[in-house]
Amino acid sequence: MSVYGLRVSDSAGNSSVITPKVGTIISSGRATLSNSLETDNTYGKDIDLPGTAAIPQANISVLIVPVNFTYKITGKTNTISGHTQRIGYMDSAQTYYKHAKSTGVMTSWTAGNLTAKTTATYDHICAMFPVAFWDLKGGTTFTAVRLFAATCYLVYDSSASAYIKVYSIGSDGVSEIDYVVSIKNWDYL
Amino acid sequence: MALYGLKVKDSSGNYGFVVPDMASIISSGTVTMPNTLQGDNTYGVDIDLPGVAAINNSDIGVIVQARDFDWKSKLNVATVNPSAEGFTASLYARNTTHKVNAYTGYIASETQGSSAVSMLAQTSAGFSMWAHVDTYVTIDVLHSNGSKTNLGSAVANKQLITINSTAQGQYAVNWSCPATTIVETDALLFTWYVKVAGGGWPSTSPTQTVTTGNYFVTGQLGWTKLKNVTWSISRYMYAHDDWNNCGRCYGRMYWGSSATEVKITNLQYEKMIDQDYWGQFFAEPGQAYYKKNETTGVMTAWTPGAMTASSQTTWDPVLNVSVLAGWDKSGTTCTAVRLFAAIAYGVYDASVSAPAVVYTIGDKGISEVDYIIYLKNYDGS
Repeated sequence: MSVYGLRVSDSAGNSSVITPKVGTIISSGRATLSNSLETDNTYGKDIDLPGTAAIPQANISVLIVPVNFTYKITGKTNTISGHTQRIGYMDSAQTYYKHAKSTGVMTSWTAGNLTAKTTATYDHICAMFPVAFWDLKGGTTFTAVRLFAATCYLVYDSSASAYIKVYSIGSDGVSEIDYVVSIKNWDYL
Repeated sequence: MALYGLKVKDSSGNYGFVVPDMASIISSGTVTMPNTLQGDNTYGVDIDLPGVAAINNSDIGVIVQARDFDWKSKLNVATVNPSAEGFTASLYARNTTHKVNAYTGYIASETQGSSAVSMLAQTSAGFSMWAHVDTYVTIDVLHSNGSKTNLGSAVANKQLITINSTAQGQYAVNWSCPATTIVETDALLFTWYVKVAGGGWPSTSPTQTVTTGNYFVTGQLGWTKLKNVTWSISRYMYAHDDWNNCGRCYGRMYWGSSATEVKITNLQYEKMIDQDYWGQFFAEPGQAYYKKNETTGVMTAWTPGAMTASSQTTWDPVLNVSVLAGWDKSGTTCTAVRLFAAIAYGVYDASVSAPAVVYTIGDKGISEVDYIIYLKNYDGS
């Protein structure tokens, strides 16, 4: 049972107690994502938090949903045991990035160019889908929230013999998102 | 217009009503997802709700968003899109035999040997006034059922003539191979002959001719066409007229080593070469995957096939991969919220001929999530 708080009730007996845990939506809506990286090679859209003091991560809640996305791959028509199939591959003409979790820095990744009889130039796609998340960039307190969204590709990088995930961004990836940023334990004064 | 509530407004005229349906964020943040199941074989992280009383699920709102994830699959690459390409080869006769397409013969391969062997044709005594020694070859395409298609009979002949003497050496004769379509299981069969003809005294009569032959056969070539080009057909041959001793004539052909070889060069052919690569992803052998009981939340281990060659039921194709995160809800009330997050794979379980959804967890799946838990009708505890 609450010791502190403000109880609000109706005639039906429903009630809630307002406590310091109450959340405030400080920003929400639809945002367009950039087609390019920031100058520090991170990516996404910054939502300023109120005030100038850094707010602890635990007091911030961020929800992001991709609402518009595309994917960029290339394809080849393959004959397999006499049957013809169109198979998708990563596109050497497309810009993809790897994302560093600890810093948010994106580094470009170049797909193989599908040279006949050179298996290392064929980068195979397992899956692709839009992703969106709050990019902490290694931080623990924040004056702004970085919204990250991109199309993610799960890929076998043949030249490196590695299973990786890479992203395409903006109009080549996720171009629009809906988001909600709320904070709690916030001092308006 | 709210009948009940607390109006909060600012000096600009903005305001909001706090009503009993107002939701409080009772927990939010980032959690690390474990690499192992719970003791009851369910999976996830429990976030305690306030108080000790069970809370109606309908009063709880949970949003879970994956922050960091990995995925586990195994690629198998097939070569595709064959097209004909031209090649040039040399064939060498070897000193050992094999059986191909029902014919046993000395090996004809693209690798030169180092051990010489020979075959001999000789006349009877008394036919050594002179000796004519010929070597020639009949060339056939040898099909997988043992039938043959002749390309040339008794071709590339080389003759040595000796009178009371010996002649020997490596001799090459050109032969024009006709353009011929073949199939990949075909082989080439070379039937080499050594013929010796000896003459008696006086003059050239009577004569005696003796011929010896042997098969030389390639492996199944994997070729699709022989081109119309000139082959150089070389053999080491020996001719001897033994007038002074037993009165015989000898003809011999050697092969098997670089010093005395039967060699055919400038064979030009076509074969189908795969140009491209097609990758198919499969559930990774040895990787821990789980199936989930959606009613109880219990996870059971699922073992992927071993991807054994020529054993189709051991290959479990991955059809899709999804990042899955949410509230693993059960019952109608709870005292804690179970956050579930894992990478979901839509696979075809070949061993049971059925599609399945399986998961990898923790650092093999989703390692971190952001979450928000809202509560309405909150009593402030």
